[in-house]
Amino acid sequence: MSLEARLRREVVRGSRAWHRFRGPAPVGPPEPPACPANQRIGPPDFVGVGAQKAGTSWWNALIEAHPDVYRHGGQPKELHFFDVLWDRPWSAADATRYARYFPRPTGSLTGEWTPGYMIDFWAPGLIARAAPAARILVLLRDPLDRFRSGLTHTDDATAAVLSHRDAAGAFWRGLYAQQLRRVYDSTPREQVLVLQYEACREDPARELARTFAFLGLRSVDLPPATFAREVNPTTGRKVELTPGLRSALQDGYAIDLEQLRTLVPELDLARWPTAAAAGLV
Amino acid sequence: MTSRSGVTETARRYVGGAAILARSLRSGKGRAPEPGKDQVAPPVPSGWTVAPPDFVGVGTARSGTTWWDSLIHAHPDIARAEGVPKEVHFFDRFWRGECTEADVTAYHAYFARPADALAGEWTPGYMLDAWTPPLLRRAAPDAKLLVLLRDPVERFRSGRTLAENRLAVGASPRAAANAGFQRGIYADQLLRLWASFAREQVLVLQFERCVREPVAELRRTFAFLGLDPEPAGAIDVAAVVNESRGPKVDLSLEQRTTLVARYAPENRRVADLLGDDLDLDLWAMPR
Repeated sequence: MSLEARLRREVVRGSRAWHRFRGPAPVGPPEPPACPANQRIGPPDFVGVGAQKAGTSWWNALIEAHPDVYRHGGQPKELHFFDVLWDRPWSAADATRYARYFPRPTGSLTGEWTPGYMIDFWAPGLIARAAPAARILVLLRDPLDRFRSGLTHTDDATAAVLSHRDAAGAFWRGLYAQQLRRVYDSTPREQVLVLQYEACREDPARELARTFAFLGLRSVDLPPATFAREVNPTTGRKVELTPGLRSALQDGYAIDLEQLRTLVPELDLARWPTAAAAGLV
Repeated sequence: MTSRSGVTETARRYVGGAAILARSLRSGKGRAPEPGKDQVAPPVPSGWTVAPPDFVGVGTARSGTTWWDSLIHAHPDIARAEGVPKEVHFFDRFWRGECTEADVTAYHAYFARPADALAGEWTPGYMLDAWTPPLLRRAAPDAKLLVLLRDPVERFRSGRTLAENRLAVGASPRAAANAGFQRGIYADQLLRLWASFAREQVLVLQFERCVREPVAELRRTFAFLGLDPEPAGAIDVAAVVNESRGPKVDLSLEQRTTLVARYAPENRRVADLLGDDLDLDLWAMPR
């Protein structure tokens, strides 16, 4: 037996032993918490659905800085509840179970923000079934900036492992029009707020006031230092784009942004260099 | 002394073996070779000449492209040198690194042909990758492009059975489902293609029509390639090629309903772009 084959066998054996030791990986979010006394459970009041690498952790933390917004201790910002619901049938029990993740005291709002929901073509329809009254939050960012943030690596070794499939995946995650079409097909427009990361950066107080109003929260002024707090910053190194790739991505995104301009007229595309380069503003 | 050098030797071999293993895992299935690791064409048969491809199929996976490619190659005036695959996958790796003039020349080397014959390839992923159409225009500006589109729901199901399961080894069911779904959003892919190639340089065929009227559609394909369409009548169009292997995976009713609903607006966009070239009645649409 060749050395390579022997090594391969040892690696396979080792990883099998490891998996026997660890048991099967849990699928989906952990068990829902027990509902504390004098709280009630119910479907979330808001669900953030996108986009990855667009500042959603930062924005979610600002929403939670509102005194009337509550997140149950230990519960993650991203529940990933719908991730596994493509391969198994949906039942009414799933809706009940989803609601159990959201205990809240009287008078408080609660929710979650899983940026991958907008990518998962089956998720918007299921969210509408599990939480029909929930407000849907979408935070978008210049697609080329999002692409670069989404395709980071930690060192040269991990950079070498990135394949063209990773690049293709990072590209289509920035095709927003088709993703928003699916959101709008599932939830009435007035229940969906589409924000722009660049606008939030420019004037966080103004955009947060909009967000609070949309969620039905009373207006509060947060101390300015709150806005500057970094949450979940990108730590990896970004892949350098060759001029050829940059121009191809720009042209590819221009096709999507043209649809987005019609679909979400309230977006200010002038804030996005990729839209400006395509002459769309 | 002997045993000590033996231990060193064994350790050295294991380190070397680990490097080989790491390399082979890195260049495993579904991973394209990176720039610098040259893709080399098979030798040119004597008397044949090399030129840019006359035609390149660019889409789309699990839609009958292997079948159609084999029918095209049954034409007496189309040649493919021994060892040249149907899918060259030449541009996959150029999402990073520059595609140099030497790379373009290396690409042309795949298209050897005898005098007066045409040569080409069909890589169904070219249309999907945003960086490929501009590179293809540079490497083969005069090539005729072929696209075969199939009902995206059926394409998704077929991909689930074979291709994407194999290519996405290690990927979660969620990632595999999303990747499969993206391949079926055709309108954006066509618009990206048309940004690099004139529309009259691209023939878009519908798989369901090819199944219904193979001879007529094959004649249309030959005419588009500038060939005599007559041989179409004599070709065995019913040959089964590259059928999905293994047990067929079917979709649950719920999955199918979701896919039909989610693809509907995207299918309408393709139909608007293609006019008479696409018959939406042949694809599953919501009632």
